Amino acid sequence: MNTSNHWNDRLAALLFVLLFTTACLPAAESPKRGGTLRLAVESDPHSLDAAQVFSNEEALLGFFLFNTLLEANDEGGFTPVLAEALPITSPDRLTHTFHLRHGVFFSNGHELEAEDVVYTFERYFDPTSATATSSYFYSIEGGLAFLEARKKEAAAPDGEARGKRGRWIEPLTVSGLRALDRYTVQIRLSQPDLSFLKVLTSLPGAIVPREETEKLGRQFSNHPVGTGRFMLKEWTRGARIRMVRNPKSFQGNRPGPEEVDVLVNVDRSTQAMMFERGELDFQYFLQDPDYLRMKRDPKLQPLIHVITGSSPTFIFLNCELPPFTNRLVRLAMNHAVDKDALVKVMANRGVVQHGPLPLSVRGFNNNLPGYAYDPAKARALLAEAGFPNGFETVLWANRDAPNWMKIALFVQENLREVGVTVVLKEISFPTLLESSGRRKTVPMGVWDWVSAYDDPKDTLDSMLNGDNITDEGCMNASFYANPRVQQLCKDAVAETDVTRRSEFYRQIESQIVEDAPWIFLIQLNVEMLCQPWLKGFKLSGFWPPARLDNCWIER
Amino acid sequence: MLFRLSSRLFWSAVTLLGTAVLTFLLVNAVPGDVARVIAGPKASADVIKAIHTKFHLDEPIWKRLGYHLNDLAHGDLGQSFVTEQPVAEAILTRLPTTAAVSALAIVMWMLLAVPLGVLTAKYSGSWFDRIVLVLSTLSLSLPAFWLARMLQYSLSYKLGWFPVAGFRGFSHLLLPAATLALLTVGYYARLVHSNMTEVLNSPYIRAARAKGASETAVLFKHGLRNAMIPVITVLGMDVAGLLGGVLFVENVFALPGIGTLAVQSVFNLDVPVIMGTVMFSAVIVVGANLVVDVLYRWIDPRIKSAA
Repeated sequence: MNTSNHWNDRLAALLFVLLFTTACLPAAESPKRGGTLRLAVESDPHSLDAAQVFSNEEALLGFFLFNTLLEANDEGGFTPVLAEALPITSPDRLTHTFHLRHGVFFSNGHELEAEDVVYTFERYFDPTSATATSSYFYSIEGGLAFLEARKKEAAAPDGEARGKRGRWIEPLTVSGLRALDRYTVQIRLSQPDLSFLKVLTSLPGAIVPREETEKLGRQFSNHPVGTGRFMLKEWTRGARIRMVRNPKSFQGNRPGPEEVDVLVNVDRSTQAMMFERGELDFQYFLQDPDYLRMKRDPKLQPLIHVITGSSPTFIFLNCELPPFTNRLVRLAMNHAVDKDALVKVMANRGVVQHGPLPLSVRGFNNNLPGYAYDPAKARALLAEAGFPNGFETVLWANRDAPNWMKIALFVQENLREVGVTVVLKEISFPTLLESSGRRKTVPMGVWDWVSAYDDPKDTLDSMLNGDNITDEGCMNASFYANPRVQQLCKDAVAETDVTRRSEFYRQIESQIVEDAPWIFLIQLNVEMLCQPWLKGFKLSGFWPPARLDNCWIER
Repeated sequence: MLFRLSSRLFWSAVTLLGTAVLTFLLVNAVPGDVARVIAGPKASADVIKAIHTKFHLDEPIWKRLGYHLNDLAHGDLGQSFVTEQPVAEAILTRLPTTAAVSALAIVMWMLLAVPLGVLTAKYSGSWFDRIVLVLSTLSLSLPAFWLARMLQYSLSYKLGWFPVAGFRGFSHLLLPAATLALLTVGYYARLVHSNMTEVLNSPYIRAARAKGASETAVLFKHGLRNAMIPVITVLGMDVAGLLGGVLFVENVFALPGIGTLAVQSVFNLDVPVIMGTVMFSAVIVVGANLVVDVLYRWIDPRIKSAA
């Protein structure tokens, strides 16, 4: 059943400021059909498979091609999409039964069936197709056992063509995924996990056709097939992506553009120029100079749409590396940085960060005390920790992200004032990503985050739960482990009462702030540009921050 | 002649081999795990390990160099880590854009440089000649990315005469080609000028004038034809050099050519594509030099007799 309607906390909704313009006002406009939606993206998507996407731009494009079972609505509830209605949830909240919409077709002509849904989620547990987002589905019962079995088979010397599709070690299927009949799917969880239905609204929850996906294997990334309103017509790698209407789509007769034309590898400043000349209908993210220029221009200013504070940007402190093993040092670092000044330096494109959660997440606690700017206290704390003369450390930052470099330089200056010498290590993003996930490698680094869906679990579990620490590829870059937080995370996932669950997350948040595994800095805004003729787009504080798949062009 | 050609071929092969080995070593000295780039930030250790095995990433570097050279010898440039597209295919799909911009640029600068060169030679020392000389020096010394951005900003963004960036049709090629042309026209105008000056002072021009040929015929039929031989030769070599300028221009105008492919592959740490584009450029440069070398002997018999 719809769980989120009971959510008491409306604070996030209040703080979630959208600068609506005429473009968003629904006043007596009749959606039109026709035209071409012209977009540009900064880099070529590495994949358009719903399971493989991870950048915001990829997710934006993915939603043209795919549908999920449910979509999140503005009230914090769900709207059925590929499901006929909201799922029937058992009283223990462990079983969700979905009746699929009849007559939904993939762009290859196949009808959507329960088997496709089972396959979609099963493939997250197959080592050959497992992805970055696999862990979203780990609460499905029997999933991890299935994964272990497949791994054993892969390690076996004669692992070819035995049993059903080469599987012979039990379990052969994921026990929590069952097709009850052609149009009915039952998903059973090992824990109530109230965030699960929200996970289904994110792009990794999009349903793919079993036959086509299995046949194409990794090539499905380049030749995605979905139920979405559009289908891929042409993808010239590194150049252009063109999507046309999917004639088989169950939403096929809806208004909207006939074609989506995406130019690839256009940097953001160039995009801004193209937008101003009317060569693009929409732009994601703005560079500071473009933002400031456009904000001053009365003609352009109304076209900027702001989502406040959906992207916390912070510095993680490696709690396994001295001196950050010492909590007092971490507190000192937090007191040493003048966050208000930082917000000004960042062109006021954000608000001061007090805790780990993005502002847009329902359940966000606006009353966290945070750390006041107090260099004297910082010095005292350092002295108490045994560093009266400070120390020297290395701050890693992605040299290709202007925002991150700006933050790194600012923090470097602030820390110098309390006696901490920070050496900047400017590296490329892939290197930062790889190194920060490895144990005892990066002492501190600039990082940011966007929650994939509207729930505290994504942020807190992925980045701050000690249970999820691994030696390599660890998302918990501060390698922060507090047994109390770990226990509370477990309790929260097992909790069926919404109020009590949110109380657990409150406690987790407070504990994290107290332990200060990060230097809490700034919740950055996400800004987007929409032409006045672009209607029906939807903004959110999540991943991706905009949905254009229901838009239309009116001019 | 045959000996010289085979020696040229041998040294060309050595150059290419050196390029292959050097790029391989350089690219492999870059820190960062390629597997992480391929699989994304949250990929599990198993996925990473599988990728390591697939691309032989765990094996010693000399062994991998061996695999690489063996593949190259078989004409296999490998496939992109990021897109899994064969590198040769990636280069070939980008080639038409680069070729179109370059060809258009050559046409533009030749159409400008030849009349400028001829006229400045004819009116040598005049104010017109001096202005062209100053402009030519300017054209030669401008950095490609700067000029590209300035033209884009003023002519496309401010005035709206051309599309700002991207490739959706022929009109998107005009300004990038014009940028390349402006960067090169000065050099060619001077080249035509100096050759023309030399030719105009030669006895056969005096003979042509003496027999009563019209001034147009003297300039273009007798003069230009001879003055163009060295120009064409230099042009042949410049086709290879063009790749360098195209790289900047393509990136500024977001044109999907070889230049952007090279830059993206560096950002993505997409090793096979980095090596592929470098090898491709090396082949073009070495090939063009070889062709020009051979053609030169054919065009100008004096070279042959000197050898």
